[in-house]
Amino acid sequence: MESKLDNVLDSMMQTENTIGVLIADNQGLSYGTRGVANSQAGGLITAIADQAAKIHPNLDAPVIILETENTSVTISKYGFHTGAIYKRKSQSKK
Amino acid sequence: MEFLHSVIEAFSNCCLNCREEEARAGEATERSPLLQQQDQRNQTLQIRRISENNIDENEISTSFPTREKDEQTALSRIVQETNSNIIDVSALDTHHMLEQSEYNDRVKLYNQRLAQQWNNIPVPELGYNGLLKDMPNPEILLNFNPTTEELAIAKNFVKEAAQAINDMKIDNQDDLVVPFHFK
Repeated sequence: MESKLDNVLDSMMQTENTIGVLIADNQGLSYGTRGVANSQAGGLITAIADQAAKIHPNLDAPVIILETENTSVTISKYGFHTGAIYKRKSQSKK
Repeated sequence: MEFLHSVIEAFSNCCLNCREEEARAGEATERSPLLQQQDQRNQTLQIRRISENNIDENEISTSFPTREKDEQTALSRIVQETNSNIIDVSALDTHHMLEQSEYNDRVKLYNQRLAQQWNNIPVPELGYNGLLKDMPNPEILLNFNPTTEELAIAKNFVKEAAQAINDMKIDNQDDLVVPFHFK
């Protein structure tokens, strides 16, 4: 049933420096998480994506990147779904 | 005959004089007394002054007989006005004169009081007040822009995940109709 979604999440976790992924619907309900991603963060991530999309309503939803010293969270929105990718900062960037 | 002529001449002269005097009643002639004329000028000047002090001219003309009184009141008013307008600097200086030592003492006292008051005033801390105040080194973070590759990966991931969610179907594993056996 959700094997396809599991495959997408697992394949995303295989990419370099990725430490967590999350996918949620437009209500903030987490459909699936991997790694460090907390399923309770789905609401927050969806809210951030919705607010950012209001800046330019006529354009596609933007990609938001929350950066801290060691990690970054990339939030993207497609249709009614919002995804977040947690990444560790690569050493070359420091 | 000559006598008659002289009489007529005298009459005509007299009448002409009368007419001239009538015509020049308002004006100063060579016969009008000089002192009286000076008086009249003073009167008109006085009236102008008083009219400048916001007094009705009609009131003055009606109270013409009591001119001396008006002059006194006008004079006293002028004296009062000048008195109020004058600032006697010399008198002020004598009252508020400060000795040099006293002046220095006061400077010290006021400086002390100011310092005390400054210590008492709670000054808000002037810390860094910006969006990135949680970031230790925002310059390093801001130096690296996200690459298009990263953005494409993120977009693609969400797109695939959304499609996967939309493709979700409930697999029918058991029979929909379950027979219950009541005993």
